[in-house]
Amino acid sequence: MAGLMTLLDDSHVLCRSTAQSQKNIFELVARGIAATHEELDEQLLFKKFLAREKLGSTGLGEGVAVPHSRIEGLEYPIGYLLTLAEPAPYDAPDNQGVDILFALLVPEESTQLHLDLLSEIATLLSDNAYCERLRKASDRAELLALATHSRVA
Amino acid sequence: MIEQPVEIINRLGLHARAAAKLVDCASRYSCAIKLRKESKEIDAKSIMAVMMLAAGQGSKLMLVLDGPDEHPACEALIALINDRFGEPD
Repeated sequence: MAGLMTLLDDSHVLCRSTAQSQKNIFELVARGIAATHEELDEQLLFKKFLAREKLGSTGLGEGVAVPHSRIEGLEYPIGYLLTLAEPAPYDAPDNQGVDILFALLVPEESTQLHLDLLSEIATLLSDNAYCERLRKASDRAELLALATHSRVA
Repeated sequence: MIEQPVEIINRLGLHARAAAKLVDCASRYSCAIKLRKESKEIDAKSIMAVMMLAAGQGSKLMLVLDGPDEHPACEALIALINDRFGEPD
């Protein structure tokens, strides 16, 4: 279970972002990931996240979302954790705004790995007390520490 | 109460979009609906819980339904799963 947070490069954490829309959020995440992975194109990532939402919201309810995409040629999964200062509209099933997002890129062909990572993220973010701690984190270092020291049974 | 074995047959398994469709379908019924995979039993009306199963293609699950509309709910869920959640493969 410790595997999940190893997906987070030190720079793949953004705390209390002022992003106010899904587009804002995807721009930030795409830019953040592309900045550390020169083989990935920022515009392509942005479009991939948007296209996935068109198929159905990746909002899970309770203010949590897992925008994700399968990427051809990707060698290993990449994660990006983001909290928002204010919940943003997200078309989530419970109609609540979203303020905790775990974005995920997975290799196109890694079907079971994809399911296992989604399962880990869901397990972690279904813990309301843990989510409250993530929301309260005031800077990147604190958020990263919470994320990397998480232990889920 | 109904206990109905089902097998996940779509290639991608119960990934996020399929899980959302399953939860959407289950939530249209008032009966309690659980999904069991090995020793884990979860609420089929919670998307986070369904995603936690990490049920891939070939996973054998038990649908457990209990309530006045359990029969139509069971039929609808089986139809959705066997239709591969509308996915091509």
